Amino acid sequence: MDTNVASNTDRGEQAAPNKETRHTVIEEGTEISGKLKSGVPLVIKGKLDGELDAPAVAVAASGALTGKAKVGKLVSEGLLSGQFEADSVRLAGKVGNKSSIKTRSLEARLTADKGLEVTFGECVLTVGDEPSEPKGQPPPPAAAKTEPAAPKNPGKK
Amino acid sequence: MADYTREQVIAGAKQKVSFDRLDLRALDLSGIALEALSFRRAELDGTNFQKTKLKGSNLSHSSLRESFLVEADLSGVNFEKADLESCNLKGANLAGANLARANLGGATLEGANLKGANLGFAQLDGANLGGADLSECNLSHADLTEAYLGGAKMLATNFSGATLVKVNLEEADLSDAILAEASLSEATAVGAKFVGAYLTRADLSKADLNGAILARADLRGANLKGAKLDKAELTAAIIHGIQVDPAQLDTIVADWVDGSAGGDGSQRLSGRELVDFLSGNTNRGGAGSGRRYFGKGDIMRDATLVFGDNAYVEIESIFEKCAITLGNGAELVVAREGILRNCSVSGAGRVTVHGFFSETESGPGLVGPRQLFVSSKGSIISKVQQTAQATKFGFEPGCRLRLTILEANNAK
Repeated sequence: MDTNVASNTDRGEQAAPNKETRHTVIEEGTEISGKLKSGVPLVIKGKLDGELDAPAVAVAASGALTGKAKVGKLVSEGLLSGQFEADSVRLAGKVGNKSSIKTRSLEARLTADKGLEVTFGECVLTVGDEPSEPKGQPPPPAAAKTEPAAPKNPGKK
Repeated sequence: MADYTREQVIAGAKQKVSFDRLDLRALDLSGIALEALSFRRAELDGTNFQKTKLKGSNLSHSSLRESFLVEADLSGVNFEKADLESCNLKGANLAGANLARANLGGATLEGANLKGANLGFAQLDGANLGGADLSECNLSHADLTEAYLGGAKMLATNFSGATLVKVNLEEADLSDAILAEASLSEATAVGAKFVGAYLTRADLSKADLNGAILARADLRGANLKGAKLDKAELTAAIIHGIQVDPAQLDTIVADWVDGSAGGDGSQRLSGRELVDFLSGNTNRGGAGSGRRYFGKGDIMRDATLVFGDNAYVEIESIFEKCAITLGNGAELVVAREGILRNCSVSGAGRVTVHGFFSETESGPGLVGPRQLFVSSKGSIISKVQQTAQATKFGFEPGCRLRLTILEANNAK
């Protein structure tokens, strides 16, 4: 059964994504499964398993988002597992097996700080426009002139 | 004379009429509710919108030159390609607004809230953004030449490819901002915060960074020639490939800096080591120590190449159907114009892609890299088979990927 749920909604005293707008917070220790459609940004400190539709989602280091999500902006320092579609994604934490992420913009940092690293299980990343070769390489040198083809019936006039 | 009077606009707004293409120049529309209405291509030059509520309205392609929008609610407004030259937006709320390709040259945006706004390719030369909140904005490829951004808040703002020449960033907060390949030459950034900012290949030449905080900033490949760095804080900054005179760093403050190519903290440098490293860096490019360079215009086909431990390999040419093996700690850099087409790279090296990489049909194209980094201009079509310890990944916004990541020894 699908369950439409939204936990605490507060005035934004808590962490990201946007301190001045209303956002829904799933606190640590809270686990929710089902469909969640939110008109405001969502902060996941606990666990959400199911289908999510929201303008922005921030998954804290203690949080997990599994299932399917279609969001404007996705920032994760926790666990992501499933199918994700977002305008932009910033990743740390872990991306679980059999996951896919489709986005226009992806950011993941190489860092000495373990907490800000991202580790991937088996997954597929589709990011930005179709990859294309850079322009700017000079054209390859012209091929040597080929000999004219031999007549089909030599000797025949 | 304007097409409508103030009273007619108020009446029309109640009936949700369209104001597209109308001439409403120099009208006094201050303090009224004009939410979720359409003003596309309207003439609004010199119009007074002080404290007007325009939330969610569409003003794309409209002309608002020298209009007065002080403290207006413009959140979520579509200003795409609008002309806002020299208008006054002091204290306006532009959170989430779309200002892509808008002209804001010489505009006043002092103390405005632009959080999450899209200003990609916008014109902001000479604009006053002092104390404004530009956090999480998209300013990629925007022109901010000689703009004033003193005390502005620009947390995680995307400035990639933007022009910030001679900009004033005094005491501004650019923590976690993306300034990859941005041009900041001759910028004044005294006391500015760049904590954790991406400044890869940015041009900071002749910038005044005295007292700036660059802790954990990624400065790989940045040009700092002639920059002032007196009392600049650089602890844990990543400095591989920076262009700087070691003497410029005499008065910096840093417990250590990271000289590793991958920015993974594996080469911590301090004191004398730092000077030696930078001297070595400056001299790199001559005949040297494990460095291989394949220049632009060359084409390599069907070749097998093996590079030893700790080699540094830079490819700016075209490689087709080549198999490359990297020794432990070796580094392969596909330069901006480099192309590796239908190739494979194996071994426990670090791979950095600024150009293009596609794998062989049999794949995976990347087997066992210790690290894979794709910069904002990089493109990859490949499978990556990770190492047993898990490959480290870094991706800059703007990169283009068709990537399948596999765990160790599980290539299909």
